[in-house]
Amino acid sequence: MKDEKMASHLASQTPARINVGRAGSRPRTETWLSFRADHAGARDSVLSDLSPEFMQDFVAVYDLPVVTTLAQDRSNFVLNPPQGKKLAPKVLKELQNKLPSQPPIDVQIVIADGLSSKAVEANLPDLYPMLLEGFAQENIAVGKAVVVKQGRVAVADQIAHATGARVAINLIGERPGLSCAQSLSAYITFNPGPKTISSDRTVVSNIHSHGTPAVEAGAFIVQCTKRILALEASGVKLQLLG
Amino acid sequence: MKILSIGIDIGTTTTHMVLSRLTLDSSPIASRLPENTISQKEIIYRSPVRFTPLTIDGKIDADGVAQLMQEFYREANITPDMVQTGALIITGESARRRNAKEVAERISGLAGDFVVESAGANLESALAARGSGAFSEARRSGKCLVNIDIGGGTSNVALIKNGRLLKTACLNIGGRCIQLKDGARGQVNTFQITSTSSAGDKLLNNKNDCASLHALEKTADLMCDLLLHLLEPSKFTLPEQSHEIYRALLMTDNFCFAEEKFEVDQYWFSGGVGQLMAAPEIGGEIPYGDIGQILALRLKEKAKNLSAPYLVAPEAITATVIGAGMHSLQVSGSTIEAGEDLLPLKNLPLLKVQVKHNQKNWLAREVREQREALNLKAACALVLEGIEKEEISYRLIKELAGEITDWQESAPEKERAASNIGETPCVILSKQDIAMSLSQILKGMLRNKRIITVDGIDAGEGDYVDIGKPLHEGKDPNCTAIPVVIKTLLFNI
Repeated sequence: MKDEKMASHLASQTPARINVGRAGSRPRTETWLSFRADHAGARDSVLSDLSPEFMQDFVAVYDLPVVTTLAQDRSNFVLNPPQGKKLAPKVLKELQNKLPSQPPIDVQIVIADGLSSKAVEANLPDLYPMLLEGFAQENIAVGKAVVVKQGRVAVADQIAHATGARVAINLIGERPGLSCAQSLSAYITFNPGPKTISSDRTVVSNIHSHGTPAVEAGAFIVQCTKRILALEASGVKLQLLG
Repeated sequence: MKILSIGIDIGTTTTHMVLSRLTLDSSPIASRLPENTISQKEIIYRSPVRFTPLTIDGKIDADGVAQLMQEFYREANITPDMVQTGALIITGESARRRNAKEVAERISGLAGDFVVESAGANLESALAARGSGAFSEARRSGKCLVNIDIGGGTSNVALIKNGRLLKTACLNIGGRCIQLKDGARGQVNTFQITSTSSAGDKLLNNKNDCASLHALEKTADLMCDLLLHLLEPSKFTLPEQSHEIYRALLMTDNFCFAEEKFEVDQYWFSGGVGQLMAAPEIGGEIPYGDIGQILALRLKEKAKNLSAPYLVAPEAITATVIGAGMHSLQVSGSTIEAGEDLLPLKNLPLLKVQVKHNQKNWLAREVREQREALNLKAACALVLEGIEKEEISYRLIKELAGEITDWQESAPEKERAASNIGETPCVILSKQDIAMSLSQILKGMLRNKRIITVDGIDAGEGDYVDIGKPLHEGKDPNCTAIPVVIKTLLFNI
C-alpha cells in the first residue's frame, strides 16, 4: 500500500491535524487558515456572552430567570475564576423572590455558560425538553431552571442549596478545544451546599453533535439522577456503591 | 465483565469448537455514557480438528456431533451451563445441511442459553473474514483486503474496505468436492475416486472411479480458474465452455466488483485448503483424503498472478469457528422498558426502514409494504437506517416516536397481532446513539407497550436478529449490556 493512502487512512481516524503537509518551514495556507478558523471559534466560545437569539428563543420561551455571578463580565470571569462560583447575596435573595413558591423539589437545574456559551446554545434546545419530560415520567419534582451568566460548576451548589433541592444539575459549557468548541457537560450533585467538593459530583461529559447527542444525554441524565436520588449519593460515593 | 463464548463450526469436512473469553467494558469511562464494547478476546480452548460425522446417506450425524461436543467439553473442562453466548454454524455444501435444523435441536442442550444457530453463505464469508484476522488487519491498516476461505465444500469470499465489510460471495468449490482413497501417492500416480459431491461431478471431465494425478491437477486448475474469475473477472476470463459450470457453482450473487474501483491491496486465504497452501509439500498420505492438497498446490502457483499479493491467514483452518465464537456478538448499551422477562428473543426478522425527514405517516406504510413483500406473518424488529449523527435532535426523535406510535396504533388488528403487539415487545434497533431517548419518548406515547430499543448495532446485510438476556455489571442499571447477534439466514432454507 502506498504511504499516501496509509496517511490518509490515519488522518480519517482522528479530528487531530495530522498529515497536513508543509510549505517550506511553514504550514500550508489551507492548514493555517483552518487552524485560525478553529482557534477563532474556540476564542469566540470562551469570550462571547449568551446570544440575544438564545435569550429570546430559549430562555424567554421557557421563562427562565437569569442571574450573573460576582464575576460580572467576561474578562473578569476569565481573569478571576473563583468569582464565577458565587452569586452576590443580594442577587441570590432576588432570585429566591423571583422563583415561584413551590413544594419541596428534588432537582434544581442550572444552565451556566462556563467556558463555552456556544455549547449551551447548541445543546440546550435538544437536552432541556428531554429532562423535563423524563423527570415528569419518573415523578421527580424539578424546580424552574436558572440561567447563570459568567458561571462555573460550583455556582449550582449555592443556588440548589438556596432552593432546597436534593440534587443540583449544572449544564455547563466546557473549555473549547480546536476540534470542538460546543461541548457541554452535566455535573450532578447530591445534597449540594457549601461543603460540596469536586469528588461529590457525577459528570456526564462530551455532549455535542460529534459526541453524545444532546437528546440522548438528556435521557441518560434522567436515569442517572433517578439512581442518585434513590441511593442518596453522587460522585465517588456513588461509584463505590457499584 | 467477562463472558464465555462458544463457536462451533460443523463444516463439510471438519468440525471444531473454540471457547473464548470476551471482556465487556460497560462501565462509564472518563464520565462518558456507558459505551459497551468488547475490549478483549481471548481463546481459552481450541478443540482438535475432527472429521464431521456423517450418516450413510451423507447427512450430518446429529448424535455423532453431540458426542464430539461432549468430548470437547470434557477436554476443555467446561460445562454447557457456563457458556453465555456464541454461535453454532453449519457451513459448507448445502446437501449436507439438509438436516441442519435437526442437528441444531439435538445439540441445543449442549450449547449455552444464548447460542445462536445459523447458516448461510454470506454469513460464513463474513465470519471467516473476521476469524482469519483479515478484518482487524483491514481496520488497523486501512488496507482493502479480500479474504477467501476455502473449506471442504465451499469457498467463501469477503471484501473489506475502509474497515467495513462491503461484499461477500460464495462458490461451491472445496477440497471435499472430490474424495480420494488414501493411496501411495508418488508411487503410482493414480488415485481412486471414492466419492464426489454434485459440484465435484460437474468439475470432473469423465466419471471414472480412478484418475491420474495429471487429471486431478487439471480439475484443480479448473477450480482455481473459476475462483480467480470470481475475484478478478476481467483479468481471469473463462473460456466459453466453463461459463455454465461457473454459474452452477456460484451460490450467491456474483461478486461483481470492478477491480480498479476497490484497489485490493492484499488477498488472504483461509480455511482448510488455505491452510494447506502454507503447508510444506509432503509425500505420503493425502491429507483429509480429498483433492484439497492438490487444489492448494495449484492455487499456490496460480494465485501469484492476482493483481495484488496474497498470504495465508494466521488463523487459516479455524477462521470460521473463531469468527463464530468471537465475532458474531455485538453488545449494545441499551434500554429495555419492561421487556426484560421476554428475553431472549430469537430469530426476529429485521425490517429495515430508511428514516424520512419532515414527512408524516411514512413508517406505517413502509412497514406494511415490506411485510407484504416479504410475506411476513411473524413479529419483527424494526431497524432505523439513514440517520446521520449530526442530525440527531429532540425533534427527530420525537418525530420517530410519533411515527412508531402511529404505526402501532393504525395497523389493522391482524397485523398488530402479528407484529410487535401482544407478547412480543416493540423492538427497535439503530446504529446511532438514540436508544435511551427514543425509549423515553416512546414510553410517554405508547402505553402498556413493552419497548426494547437497542443502539450501536450494525445490522448490515443481516436478515434476522437474536437479542439475549441483559448482562449486568455491578448494580447500576445504566451499565447494562445486551448481547445482540445479527444473522443472515435461518435453517429453513
